[in-house]
Amino acid sequence: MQFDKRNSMVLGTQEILQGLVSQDPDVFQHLYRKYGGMIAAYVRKNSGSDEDAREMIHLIMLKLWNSVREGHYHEQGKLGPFIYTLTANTWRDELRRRKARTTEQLDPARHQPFDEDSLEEAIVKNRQIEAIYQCLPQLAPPCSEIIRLFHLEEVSLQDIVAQMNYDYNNLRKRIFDCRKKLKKLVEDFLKKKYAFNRH
Amino acid sequence: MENKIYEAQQEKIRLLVSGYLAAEERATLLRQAQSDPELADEIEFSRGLALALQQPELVAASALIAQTIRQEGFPPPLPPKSAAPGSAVWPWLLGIFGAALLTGGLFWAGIFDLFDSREERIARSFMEPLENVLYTPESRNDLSDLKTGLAAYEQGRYREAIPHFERRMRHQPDNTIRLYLATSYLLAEQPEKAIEPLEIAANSQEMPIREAALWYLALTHLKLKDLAAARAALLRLEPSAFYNDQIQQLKSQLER
Repeated sequence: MQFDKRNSMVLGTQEILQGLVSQDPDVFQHLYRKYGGMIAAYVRKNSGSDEDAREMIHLIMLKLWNSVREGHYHEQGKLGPFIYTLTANTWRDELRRRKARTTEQLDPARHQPFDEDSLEEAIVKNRQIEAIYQCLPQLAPPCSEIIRLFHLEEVSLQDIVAQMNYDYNNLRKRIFDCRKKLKKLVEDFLKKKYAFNRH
Repeated sequence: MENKIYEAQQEKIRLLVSGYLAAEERATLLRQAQSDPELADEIEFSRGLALALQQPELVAASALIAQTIRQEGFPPPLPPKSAAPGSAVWPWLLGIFGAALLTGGLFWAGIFDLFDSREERIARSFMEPLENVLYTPESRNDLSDLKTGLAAYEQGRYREAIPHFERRMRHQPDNTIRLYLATSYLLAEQPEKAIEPLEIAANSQEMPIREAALWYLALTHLKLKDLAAARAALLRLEPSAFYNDQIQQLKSQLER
């Protein structure tokens, strides 16, 4: 059993795994306190900056969550070993990618689209995604419907035209306008979030 | 991005994001994006939108983690100590105490450490089994010795764990098993056998393994009353990501 003196929670591995799947904030907090320092120390000792360390903690915790959700974590060893191996492999891949970017004369620090190896990396590195997820419910019809059909269900423009009885050119403009509305919501969300959390 | 430009590109961008764009067109579009920040942002936004729609649970989990990091603050705290020093030794000592009550005599002297040196007492107070040693077996071949050894180790049956780790080491040596084996020797009161595996593990390129090996090496030398060697191991260890607190406490006890 693992005892976190600061919040007096006693968490066994099974409780942690169940808490991850149910997205229990206390479990995420426990994991951050227990393993965040280790992950950050590893990244810093291996050419990473503080920003890299912060991003890696986020990424590793997300990968852990997804591994547990998808049933890939079989608890062959302890949770700590799994997390460390995940950290070492993921950071090594990141350094390899940066080296390749340098060779191609790209800016190694700038995130390149489709550069990532996994969904988790794509989500962590694109700061807009959380904002988009939070703002999508604020889109009213018909934008919500258009966005859903075009981006989620990947319906062709011709089929959307038929379904929603739009003119083809009008639809293309509508998609652009709906995305613009969503972008505005996302911008406002990010401004509020970073103004509130500025440190 | 301008309306007209986006409209011309929107289906291509969507195909790119969903992975259905032909390889050559994909390469062309991504190359264009490298020199056109607006196009790059448009692609990034489209990708983000697709992910937010298609992977809502994953995005929600990510949002929760981001919130946790914000609330807790960065950098994160150093890992908490999992148990008080020596806590793993208490069940063993209690077992001996029970035996001593039955048999009396010299066991009493052993229990009360009358013949233990100061260095041995200090080493014992810091001795605890491995917790955050990092191990995911690379090979799933023949895990029986590993599983049996780890099960015995977790229950504090270190003498029982030893032959399983030794066998595992003969077939698939690696530094993590060396650590488990060495600490089993140490906790089973066979410190002289712990030195060799710890010295080897102390050369590991993996930081947590190297630090754990040096820490236990220091304790082993202390147990063997070799203060100079214990200090040398601590010197090699500092500064430590995991053991800083324990090192300072140990040093202050040794200096008294």
